[in-house]
Amino acid sequence: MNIAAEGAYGGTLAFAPYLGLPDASAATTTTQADVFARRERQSTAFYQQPKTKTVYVEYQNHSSVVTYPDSSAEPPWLVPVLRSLLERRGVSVGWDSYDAKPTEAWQAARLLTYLFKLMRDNSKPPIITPLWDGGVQATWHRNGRDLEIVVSADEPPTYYFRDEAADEEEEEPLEPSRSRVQALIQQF
Amino acid sequence: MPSETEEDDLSIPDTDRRFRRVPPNQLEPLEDGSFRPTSAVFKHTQLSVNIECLMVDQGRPPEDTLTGYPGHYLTSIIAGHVRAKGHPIVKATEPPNDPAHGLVLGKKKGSFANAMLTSHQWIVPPPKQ
Repeated sequence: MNIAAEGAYGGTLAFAPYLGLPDASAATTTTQADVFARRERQSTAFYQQPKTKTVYVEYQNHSSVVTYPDSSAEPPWLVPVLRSLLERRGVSVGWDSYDAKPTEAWQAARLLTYLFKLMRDNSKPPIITPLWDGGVQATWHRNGRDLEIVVSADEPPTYYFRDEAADEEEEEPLEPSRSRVQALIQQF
Repeated sequence: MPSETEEDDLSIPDTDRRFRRVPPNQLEPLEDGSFRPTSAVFKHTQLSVNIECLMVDQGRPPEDTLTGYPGHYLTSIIAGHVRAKGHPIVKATEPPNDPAHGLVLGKKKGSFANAMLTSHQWIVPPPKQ
């Protein structure tokens, strides 16, 4: 899935996996919650167009959209990840009792889009944690091993992995290391 | 506000503890039902802490750091561990800061945050699940 900022309009950032295709979709079903709404979209054009699903991440008058190919059923990790994000996001300035910024919807959308690229259906859902600068990180922890995917506000995404027993540690930019991170996720 | 290049305050002993509040949304469950802070707790470029030696001078227990913050927990990291990773510690006590307030300066990598995670000690831990 390629990721690109399709455009910014009305305060919404849209991330689209299929750039270049006209948006000829129509909503078929809609469910809404306080913060998240999910909409299945089915092509109504006459030519072959991939069916996609869209996750809206909305809070504090900001919303971001994560769109991903609907190749099969919804991945089992998606709802736990969205729930973790919803429950743990930084709501207001100083949510950490110091000076943390509220979690930015578009940073959450960036992280979710990376997770769609990196996780498999059988991947263990990570815990989502807000960062002080409005970014977010996904964390896996098991038996002395830690993996983090960090989407912070002021630098390109990174990953961090540590295996305490093996005394191994690595920390690199995420983009050039996708296959490595995919393999690491499957260790949890 | 201290600058990123401000020098380490060597009047703070290496054995001194830094106290940091941890909100519920920065906890991670462990296999045994206990919790640890997430590494995100230690990633602020100007990481606010309370300095143990100042609190002692002021006759305040560490738990006083939580006054006014119900629902938060309190952890501690050692000044020597922070310095070993190359991060200076400075006092920043001017009002409206806490009179025992200090900062751990510098951009924090994951290796620093996870090293603090390894060595941190709860002062007021969250209850086990």
